[in-house]
Amino acid sequence: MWLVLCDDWDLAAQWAYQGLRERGLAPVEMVTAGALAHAASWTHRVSTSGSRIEVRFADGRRLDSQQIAGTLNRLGSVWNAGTASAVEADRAYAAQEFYAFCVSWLKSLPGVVVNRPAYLGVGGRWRHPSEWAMLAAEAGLQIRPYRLPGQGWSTSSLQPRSSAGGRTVIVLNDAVFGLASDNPLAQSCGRLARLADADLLGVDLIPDRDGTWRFADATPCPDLRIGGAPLLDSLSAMLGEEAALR
Amino acid sequence: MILLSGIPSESSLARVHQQVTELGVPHLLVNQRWVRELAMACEVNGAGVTGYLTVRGIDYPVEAFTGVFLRLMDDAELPEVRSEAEGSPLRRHSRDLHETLYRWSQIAPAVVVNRPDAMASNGSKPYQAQLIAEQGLEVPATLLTTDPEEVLHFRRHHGRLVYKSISGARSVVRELQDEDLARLDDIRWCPVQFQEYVDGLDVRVHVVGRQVFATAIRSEASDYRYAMRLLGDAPALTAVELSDPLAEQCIKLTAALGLEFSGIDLRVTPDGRSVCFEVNPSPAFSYYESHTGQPIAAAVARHLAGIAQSSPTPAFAASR
Repeated sequence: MWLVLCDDWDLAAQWAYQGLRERGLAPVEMVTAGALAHAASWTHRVSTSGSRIEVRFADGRRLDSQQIAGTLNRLGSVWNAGTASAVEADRAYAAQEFYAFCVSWLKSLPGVVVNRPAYLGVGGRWRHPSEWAMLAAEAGLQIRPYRLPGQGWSTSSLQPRSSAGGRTVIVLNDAVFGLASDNPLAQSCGRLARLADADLLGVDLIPDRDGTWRFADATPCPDLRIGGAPLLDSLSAMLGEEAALR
Repeated sequence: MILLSGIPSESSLARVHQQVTELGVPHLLVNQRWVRELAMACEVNGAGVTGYLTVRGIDYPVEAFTGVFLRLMDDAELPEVRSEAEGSPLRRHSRDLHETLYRWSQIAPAVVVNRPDAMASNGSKPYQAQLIAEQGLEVPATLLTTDPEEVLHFRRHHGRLVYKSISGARSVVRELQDEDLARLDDIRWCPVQFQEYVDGLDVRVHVVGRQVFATAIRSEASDYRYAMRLLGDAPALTAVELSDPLAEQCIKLTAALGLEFSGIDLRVTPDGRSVCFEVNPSPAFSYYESHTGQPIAAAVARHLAGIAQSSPTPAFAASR
């Protein structure tokens, strides 16, 4: 079984789910944050020899990590209906406990997981814009100076991509979508994904007045539709690879 | 130059400051409570990160800091800030200052003890346990569940169990008793972490770069940190020596977590296994140092100064 984990409103995940099914991955299950929030029961084991997760959903579905071959993980948030109804004094603690729990069960998923969770980001490691700027420069991308304090949380938040003529490049497992592979920019974006230890990375680029493309932002959860069918072909092959080796 | 920051009277910071001073290494001690007289501004550009830390009217270029030791308390709780109205200029200044210091320490080309984001793995104990197991150390069998039946089954299999928080929230580790079973249904609301009870001797291992300091803690309490409160009996701390392979595993684990300095909690079982419970990325080492005389602060100071340490031989002879 393959999993697509996503937030409830994630249209790109739904598109990928359909595309993976059309490419022959079967069965593929889409599990949303909302379904996880209302799960009937959770059992997660951790030991020296390995870890495991079993989830029973309210609709009767059951998830057992022993049956999972690979996962497209695009979860942006996790919450728990039981925690939300906790008394106020316990609510923050319960939410912290549930988040810590989710980071662990996501890490225990077997096979190829795109992207692996981190404590700072259940759908892939979150980084502050200042850190992205450092990594982008190290990868060879041109950057605009990023100032601390006071520039906010996104390097591109004040600059809508469409109006600025920007573009998003997606890197998946070293392959670059949205630029010709021999373009030096593509190579830099690939390096950035490697430096960030991300199998899947969206890189936003914006043009300067002189036509130079500069790094604007990066995310482990990009809009996959930008990569089109070639990206789905690669994702399908990547997720299926481990199962084929079993 | 080494940057030290926090509350200077806090024992861990005070000990490292004393050692840095004795080493004669240039350093700057910044008291968080000087918040009104502190400012920081940085810029990330193609050349790296540049900027200034202003302390009581003197500008220090951040590029000058080659070692950084942060023991910062929550700036909202600083006495100078606590009584400020929400959104007051001082409160905003304090937040900006600490956020800048925090973010700079994440990317600074310096020895940082420890980088903030590397400390995050301790926020989920079972997540960190999986990282520990990946490095070849044994971890206790752990069950996290909302299903009371699973707990009963786990208890039948393992016998004695303890339960504790999943997150980094500090909690007292307690043994699951028969009388607790009456409220086991409460776990249906949110997963709870249960662990096999591991009998043996507690050993706290402090790793500084490639130096290892191991301390055995003898206590009857299930959580020795609360031995006085729970049993009215203080634990006995003794410096001990780890086997070379175990010391090497602790060094490797610390590096794998991206840490320069760690406090690793082990329990050595009667049959000689070493079970790892967690890795503390901001260990309050002064408690162990004051009881054993192990020169942990000196090792941290030398590490910050980039002075090579003798390694990996533990600095103390066995005294078990």
